Amino acid sequence: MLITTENLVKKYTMGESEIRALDGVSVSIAEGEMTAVVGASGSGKSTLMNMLGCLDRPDSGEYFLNGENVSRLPKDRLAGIRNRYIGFIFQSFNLLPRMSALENVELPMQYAGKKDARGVAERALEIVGLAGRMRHEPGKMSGGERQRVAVARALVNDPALILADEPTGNLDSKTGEEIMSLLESLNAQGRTIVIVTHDADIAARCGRSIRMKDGRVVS
Amino acid sequence: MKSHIKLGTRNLTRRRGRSMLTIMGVALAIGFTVGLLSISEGFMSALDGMLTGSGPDLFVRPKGGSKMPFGMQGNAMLDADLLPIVRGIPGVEFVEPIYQAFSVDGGSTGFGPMMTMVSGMPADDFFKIRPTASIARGRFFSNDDGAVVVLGGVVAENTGKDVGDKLELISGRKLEVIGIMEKTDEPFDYFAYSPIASLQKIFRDSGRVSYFLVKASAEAGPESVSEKLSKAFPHLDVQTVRELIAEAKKMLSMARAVHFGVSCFALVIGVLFVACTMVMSVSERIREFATLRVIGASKGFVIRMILAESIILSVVGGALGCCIGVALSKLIDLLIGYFVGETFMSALVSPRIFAVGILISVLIGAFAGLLPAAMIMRRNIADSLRYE
Ligand SMILES: Nc1ncnc2c1ncn2[C@@H]1O[C@H](COP(=O)(O)OP(=O)(O)OP(=O)(O)O)[C@@H](O)[C@H]1O
Ligand SMILES: [Mg+2]
Repeated sequence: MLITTENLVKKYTMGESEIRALDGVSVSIAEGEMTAVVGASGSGKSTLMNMLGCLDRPDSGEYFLNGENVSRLPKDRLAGIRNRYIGFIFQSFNLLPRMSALENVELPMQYAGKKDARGVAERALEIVGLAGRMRHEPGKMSGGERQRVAVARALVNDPALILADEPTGNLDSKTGEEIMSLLESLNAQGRTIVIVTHDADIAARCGRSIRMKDGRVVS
Repeated sequence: MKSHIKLGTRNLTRRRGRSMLTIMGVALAIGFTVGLLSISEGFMSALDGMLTGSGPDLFVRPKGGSKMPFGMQGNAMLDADLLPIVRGIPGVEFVEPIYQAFSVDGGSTGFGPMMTMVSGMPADDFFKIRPTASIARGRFFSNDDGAVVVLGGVVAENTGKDVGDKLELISGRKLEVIGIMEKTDEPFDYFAYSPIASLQKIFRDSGRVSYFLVKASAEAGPESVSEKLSKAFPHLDVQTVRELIAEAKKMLSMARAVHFGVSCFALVIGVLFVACTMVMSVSERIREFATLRVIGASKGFVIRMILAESIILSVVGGALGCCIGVALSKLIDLLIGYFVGETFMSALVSPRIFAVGILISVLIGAFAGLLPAAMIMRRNIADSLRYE
């Protein structure tokens, strides 16, 4: 198993009331799987993705990534793990403004201390079909193009796991379709992919669906 | 490639207007500090220069006058007959009796006419006591010259007088300029010299002198001679040039303490200025910093990036400030020149002052960057990604 969680709990307190965004989540995802996470708004999908992506630590429960318990590692260790093992794609792209597509894609490799970042970044941008847009800044690109830059950025450190939180949420259906095909081809190369989505068609294209409700996995 | 520096500069150029305003603020703070520093530095080094200069090293004068010998009131209260007694004190190499007169002829300052001090003295030992002095034009006076005067280099410049012109004393009597001395950057540039006998005659004051200038022998040194003179003339005031300069330095350090306080104030405002800009700039980019952390940037990287941005902002201001400071000190020099004529004190712009200016701006930047860096570090990545 690439991912195994045991009874993950994440609580948020809003004044008096306490929200259990994750209320004892245990899931396992094997290497090479393409998994959809579905559920109503507020059911805890993004919170689960944050845990799986080592962006946040659970209040209780364990998370084993590739066999290593990462649920209580210090933050800079987690940054290293994210950098090496995990690629992220967000609904709102989260590219850095004022940097060209190429520089955005190079960044994760700089933190990994890789040589020839430029060459690898150029190849990644070619793969996502942006060979002609490398010098553009995100502000001068369409939503679909930005998301493809984000996919290229998620790829460059050759991560075992790609986490996509509503990657097509801000795109029209045609561009969303293009991004999905990209993710499918990455999955075909053996990468494990987890996609949060509200779109039933997209969920149907994944090998497996995890349905959440009120912080729990219901199926 | 130092990508945190690159990211920092990029962001600064993005918000050009705001960055420029901040840079101007820092530039003014640093400029002010550097300007004040170079002025007091210049004054201090001018005073130190006087210590190593040639010339007399002791004054013997009546008690109770002004501390500075040059502005002495109640002229000519000493008996000229004291001269051989002073000369007889062991360790005294030369003694010059001085009869002090004043002129406001020629030249002017923002405050009014330029004042020239005319020292009546014997010609004998002038060049022995002041080995670096020399005559540029005309000649030096001899003891039996009449109403003549020799001008120090700066006096000649300030009054615009040359050989053959007349210099009018405050009393109305005119002295003929017979010589101009070379400018040497020593105190005697700032005086005019006449035969003592003719000044005493003009003021009908024969047998009286204003003060004695004493040169101690190299073996005895001014301090020991000063002690002996004080003992021999308890009713007179004996002061070494060293003491006089120490006195002047003391006054200057008080001024310096005020400068320091004002500068600190300016620098604190500089820190607040940069900190304010950085807090704004960082709050706008909470999602960006979170994104950097998501793709693997360490905490240290993000802190360095914020500090780099803050330091670059502040150092650009600091460099500009150094230039403003130099301009400011030159301006003050000009103003001093305009109001009091040329003086031996002028601002000193040394590389050391630039180094201090830049160092201070680095510190301003580092301090100012700490708060926004801490602000970002306190945030949770997952929360920051949701931040609108
Ligand atoms: N930082 C936070 N502070 C307080 N409450 C939070 C925080 N993050 C999430 N929550 C709460 O946790 C619950 C789960 O949120 P989460 O974002 O995981 O839902 P989601 O399934 O991703 O919803 P959506 O489909 O709308 O994105 C929600 O009730 C949300 O209000
Ligand atoms: Mg969500």
